[in-house]
Amino acid sequence: MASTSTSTLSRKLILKSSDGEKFEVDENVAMQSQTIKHMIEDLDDINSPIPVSIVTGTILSKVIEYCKKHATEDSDSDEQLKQWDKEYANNMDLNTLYYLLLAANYMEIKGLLELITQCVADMIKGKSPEEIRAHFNIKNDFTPQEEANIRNENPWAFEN
Amino acid sequence: MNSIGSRNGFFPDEVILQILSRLPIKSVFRFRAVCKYWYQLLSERYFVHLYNEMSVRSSMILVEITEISESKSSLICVDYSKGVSEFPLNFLKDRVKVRASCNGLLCCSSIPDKGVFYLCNPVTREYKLLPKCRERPVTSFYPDGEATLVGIACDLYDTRKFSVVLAGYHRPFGYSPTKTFICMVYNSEINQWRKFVTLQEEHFTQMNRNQVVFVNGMLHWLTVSYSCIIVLDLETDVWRKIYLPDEMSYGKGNRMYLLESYGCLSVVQISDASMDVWVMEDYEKQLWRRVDRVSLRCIRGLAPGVFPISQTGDCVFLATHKQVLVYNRSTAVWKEMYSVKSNSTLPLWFSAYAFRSTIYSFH
Repeated sequence: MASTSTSTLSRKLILKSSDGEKFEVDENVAMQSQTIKHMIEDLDDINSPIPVSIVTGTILSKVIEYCKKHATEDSDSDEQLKQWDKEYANNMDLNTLYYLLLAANYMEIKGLLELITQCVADMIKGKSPEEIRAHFNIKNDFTPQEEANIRNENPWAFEN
Repeated sequence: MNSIGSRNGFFPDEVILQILSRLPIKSVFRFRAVCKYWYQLLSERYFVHLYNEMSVRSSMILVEITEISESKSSLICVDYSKGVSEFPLNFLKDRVKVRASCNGLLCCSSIPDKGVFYLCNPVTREYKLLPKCRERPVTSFYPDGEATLVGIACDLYDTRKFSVVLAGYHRPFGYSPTKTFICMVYNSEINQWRKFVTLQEEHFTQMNRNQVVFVNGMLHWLTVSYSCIIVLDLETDVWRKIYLPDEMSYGKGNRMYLLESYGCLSVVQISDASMDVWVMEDYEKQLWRRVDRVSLRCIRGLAPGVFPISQTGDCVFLATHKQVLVYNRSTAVWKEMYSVKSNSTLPLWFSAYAFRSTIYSFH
């Protein structure tokens, strides 16, 4: 039987995090996630909780905070929204930021993904290769000679 | 959190690539030394594509500052978010002047050696010395002995090939100039020049010459009469014209300039009171639309001598005799980004070019 839902504006969805926490959000807030948008299309009963399997409750609440802000963007100017984004990202510790990045990638929220990748890029852009390895816990698998050769390909990139 | 940046690590490759494509080029080349995996990732065509795609958003221009008395010049980069920095071209080991800029590449001509041209990426300091075009007419271009129009055709997404165009009116030795328009095109794939000759009657100001726009695989220059844009189709070696629509009325005192806007042609009209930005939204149908009108009230005193150099969605760069100004489109605020004190330099607009920071390889 075809259902005739009257208004899509006020519909509520329930998102369920990997650790079982449930969040009730407006549909237009949740729909900023392409992943959730696709999930809803396949869903028979929108009243049942939608699992966001790899995202914990702590991180999901941050994601929802972002989506809420950006769902009602007409109340703010572009400039105010940019400022809000900046403060939002600056208030995260590194761990939260990285899990948020994973969540944004998994949930396909374009704006959030752009915001955090740019934030990480700004954080690491001045670092040396050694600092990058330490920061991301990467093992140096070059021989000293190989590394020297790469440095010699573009010595200007290693000048201060 | 283990090994965040390695293969099968914390982040998927796509996320790592998204981060790395937002770095300055200097960091990209430095981070190739992090590990074998990053070296490979940062050298792949896919990354170059991603990086160049991102560069379209960067807002910067290059200005060549020439001291008239000492005949020496320096190149600076004015970046909206990062400020002013110097771009030394001394890796070319020649005295050069910039003749054209396209998608992060510059075409420079040697000042001591007429007919010697370089193509370079001033950020990565890679360059290619173009083979000398042996045609004699190059030295008899009218009126100043050098090619009137210089253009680079290089695709942001196909960085393996590019073309350089030199064109100008021919003056036979001892005769007055003719309408004979000589065009030389260098093709990097075969490392050779080709030549073809047509008749033209168009003329070009210094700004017309600087503002060459490469879109749709074709090079475009506005002509001095403001009535049309001349187009060089590099596939067919044919010159065409695009006539500007009537509604872009050339009212009294209006000046016009040709810029790019996200892969489209854009004409900026400047009158005493305002700056109108037109974009050709449909190239095939030649549909123009006025997308912006900016009041010049805030810079009233400067308005008669202000020239638009480059634009992005965020801002418009303009140059005057001694200043580089930026207009922020979302806040409608004007800002002076750079100024020269000296009285003995050529006007800044005389040699200011749109620029973006891209990765190209000449090998």
